[in-house]
Amino acid sequence: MKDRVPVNPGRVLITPENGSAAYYATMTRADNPTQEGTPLNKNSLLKDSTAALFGLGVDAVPDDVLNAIKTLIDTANANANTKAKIATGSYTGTGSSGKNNKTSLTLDFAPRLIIVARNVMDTLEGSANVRQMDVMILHPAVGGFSNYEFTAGANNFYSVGSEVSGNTVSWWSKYPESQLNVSGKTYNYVAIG
Amino acid sequence: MRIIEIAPLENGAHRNQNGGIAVVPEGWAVIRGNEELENFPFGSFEVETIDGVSYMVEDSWTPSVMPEPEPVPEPEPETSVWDELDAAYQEGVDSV
Repeated sequence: MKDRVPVNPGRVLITPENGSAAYYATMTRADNPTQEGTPLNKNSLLKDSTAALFGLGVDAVPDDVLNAIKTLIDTANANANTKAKIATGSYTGTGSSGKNNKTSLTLDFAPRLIIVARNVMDTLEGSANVRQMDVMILHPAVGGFSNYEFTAGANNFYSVGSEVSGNTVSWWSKYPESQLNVSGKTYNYVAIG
Repeated sequence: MRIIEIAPLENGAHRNQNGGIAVVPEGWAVIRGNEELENFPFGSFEVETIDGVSYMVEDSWTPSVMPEPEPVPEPEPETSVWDELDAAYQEGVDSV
């Protein structure tokens, strides 16, 4: 981008529409500004150093930079779409279980791995100190397992069936506990796709 | 975004989800705000549609009774697949 370099700053040629002879005049702003404002020039619109950041030369104009930015955004988006996606959230258990009462999550992408865990650790029945962590690890297209201790010392793993439809994954297990779907309990999830 | 399935399950609960989604699935409604809903997700509510998106009508949540959990099942037998594998190894089998 280049600034205008006048020999006669502010000079204009006035050509009257009534056919009179044209004449030169010098225009000077006389609006008594309360603030000068930012001048429209190379320094404020596009410095050479800024253009160079985008691989552009000294003749580049702001529109060239906007065009370069659009290209960079498209490239960044294309790269991001090839990277792993992750979503987190929670749900509240409905107390149901089994294949006719699946628990489901719908995400903005097709998940490849889901980990669900209770948001608190309960004290086990029969134990004053031992706490359990209900966890389910699920490969949506294959199935998975959950860990639940109904009583202290009876730590069991349960199989979890699952199915995928679009971006929705549903799963089921024998008990609400092993389906991680106990009534009113809050479960947190992490989904990776 | 907090969403809830409009149709209840057989036990009166509604499947629900908080976060991880930008588009509301068909048959689900958005729950506006973060206020705690009594006995959630057991209850009923009214739905309004705005610009093609379903929303739970504010203050329309009517809680129902949250059923008591099923009796705790008997613990699974102590013998697990690992015990069987261990026994198989000790017997010297090559595969199980």
